[in-house]
Amino acid sequence: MDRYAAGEDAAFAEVYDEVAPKLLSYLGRQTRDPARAEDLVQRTFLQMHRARGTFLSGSAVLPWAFAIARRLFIDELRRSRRDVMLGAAPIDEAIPSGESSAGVVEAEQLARMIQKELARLPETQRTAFELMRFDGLSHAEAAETLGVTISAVKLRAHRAYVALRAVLGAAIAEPDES
Amino acid sequence: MRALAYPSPMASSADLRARVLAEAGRTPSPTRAQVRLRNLALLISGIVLPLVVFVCWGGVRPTGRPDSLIFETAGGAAAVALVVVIVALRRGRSMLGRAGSWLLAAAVVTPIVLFAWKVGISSAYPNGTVDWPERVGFRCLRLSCLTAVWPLAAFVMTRQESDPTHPHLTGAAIGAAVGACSWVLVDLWCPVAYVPHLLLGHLLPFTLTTLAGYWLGGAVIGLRKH
Repeated sequence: MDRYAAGEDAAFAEVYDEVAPKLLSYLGRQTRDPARAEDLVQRTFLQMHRARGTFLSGSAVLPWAFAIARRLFIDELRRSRRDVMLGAAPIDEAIPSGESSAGVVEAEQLARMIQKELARLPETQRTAFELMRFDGLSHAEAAETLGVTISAVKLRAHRAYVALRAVLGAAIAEPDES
Repeated sequence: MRALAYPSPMASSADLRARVLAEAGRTPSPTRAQVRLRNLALLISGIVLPLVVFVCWGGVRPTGRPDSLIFETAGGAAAVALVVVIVALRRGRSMLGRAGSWLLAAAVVTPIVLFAWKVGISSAYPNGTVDWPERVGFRCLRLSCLTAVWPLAAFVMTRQESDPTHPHLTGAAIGAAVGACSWVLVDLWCPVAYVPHLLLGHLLPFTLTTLAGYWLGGAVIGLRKH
């Protein structure tokens, strides 16, 4: 992104290749609509493109991209006034191929339980949990994405883990990043 | 950290990639050097113009105040203003700027500290907070607004479409930073530390600047639909 901000146009493709799959995963989960997710990804990259001159040398791209994507998603949600998923992503996507039928059933059950419990969590806790657990962001990156302190994001995620663990038990373990 | 397998990422299509790159190729965007030049011009004008207004308005006016009182009140306010400017205008090492709690603190705590500092220091001097009936505070209000309006616009423009997380708070913090700088200039000009005068002529414009920043933040600093 540094090279792109400095004016090297070809570097944008590298930024895209690095960030787009993660954004598609995040937005796909939020929208449950691949077409909407792709549209939001496109708009996110165009925002990044327009703002490339403001990119701080050495700063992280991923939290910035996630924050833009999240804002665009929220704005679109408000505009369309449509209720969003919070839960019912296609279960078959969650199940790794090649598992035994017992494993499949177990994975289905676990996925359903996670969906159900995530939907019950406050938005702030759910988002912190999802960014770190589903999207693989670190505490610092999630905090940056959400515009809060690291302590705040740790607290939100911890509360989400506590709530989920109360229902799911050992099936979901809290990461030990400090 | 291990990411959960559920839900699995979708595949990024080549078609989408081509669309994004083509659209980016068609959409002009300034490079870092161009943005830096523009921001530098905005920052310089945001510093110079209020100083010109201040000098034209009369500049520093002791009006019977001891030098130490002027130095202490304006110096303390300047130190506060410097801290708020750093918090509000600098983004640190993050593209997304400070956490919301920092920005909120800058917007809310700054006027309290400035007001308490002014009253506290002035109270330590004989007749420091005496009433001046003929100086209600309207001239200070006007000077505050005049010295704040362009810097607020200029500084907000330097952060155009840069904050997708809390643009209103960023705008409010910038408003507080501008309000604090304006407070310093008005403090150098105005000898009155009578509390009702301070509320009308000094604190009210600060609050207005912060509120204007809050509004401008949403309109300018946040993402816009293209």
